[in-house]
Amino acid sequence: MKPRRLSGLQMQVLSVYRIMLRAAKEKQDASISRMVRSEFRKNSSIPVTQHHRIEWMLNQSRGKLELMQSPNCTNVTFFGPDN
Amino acid sequence: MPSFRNITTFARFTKCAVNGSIMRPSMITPMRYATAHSSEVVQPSGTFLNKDVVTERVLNVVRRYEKVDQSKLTAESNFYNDLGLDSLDTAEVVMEVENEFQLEIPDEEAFKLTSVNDCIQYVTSNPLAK
Repeated sequence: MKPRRLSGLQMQVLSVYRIMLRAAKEKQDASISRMVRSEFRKNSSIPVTQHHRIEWMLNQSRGKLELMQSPNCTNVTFFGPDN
Repeated sequence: MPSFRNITTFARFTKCAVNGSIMRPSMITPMRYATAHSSEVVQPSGTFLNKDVVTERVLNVVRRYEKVDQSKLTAESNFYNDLGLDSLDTAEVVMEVENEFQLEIPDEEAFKLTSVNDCIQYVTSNPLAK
């Protein structure tokens, strides 16, 4: 079967996902990567027609990534599903 | 040891002098400066891994991922069609493969890996895989 092509926006989202998971792995706290996974999973049902919303969230993610990468951030408290 | 510039000019002048004609691109022979002064052959910095070993390790990595349908897992299975993963899951599995072989797969390459076989192909063709 033909491999399916990803759209440009999908690629952007996926590369942010990869960057965030890498950043989360640097930290000791496992709940950071749990939070990243569940946030992306939660918003994965947004239809492509709302691309402006997805772009807005991508912009938001940049700030969150910076916050996550700062050495001051050591752990998060996350109440969510366990995966 | 002569510099790069010395070697090229030397080669050009002899060619022209011998033929006595106009310099054409076909006359410029590629330089072999590894053999010119020393007999040692330049080895690639790593070695390629054995395909069977890679297959086993990739399958182990994918098996560890809990969303994978274990009964359908073979070396040929596609992440999307056979294992029922979506693009987020696939990105994660590819990252696990990266960790296993201590690789850093660039994004464009990582998005092209859509099956277990693709991963195996990529790892076996990468000399940096450990």
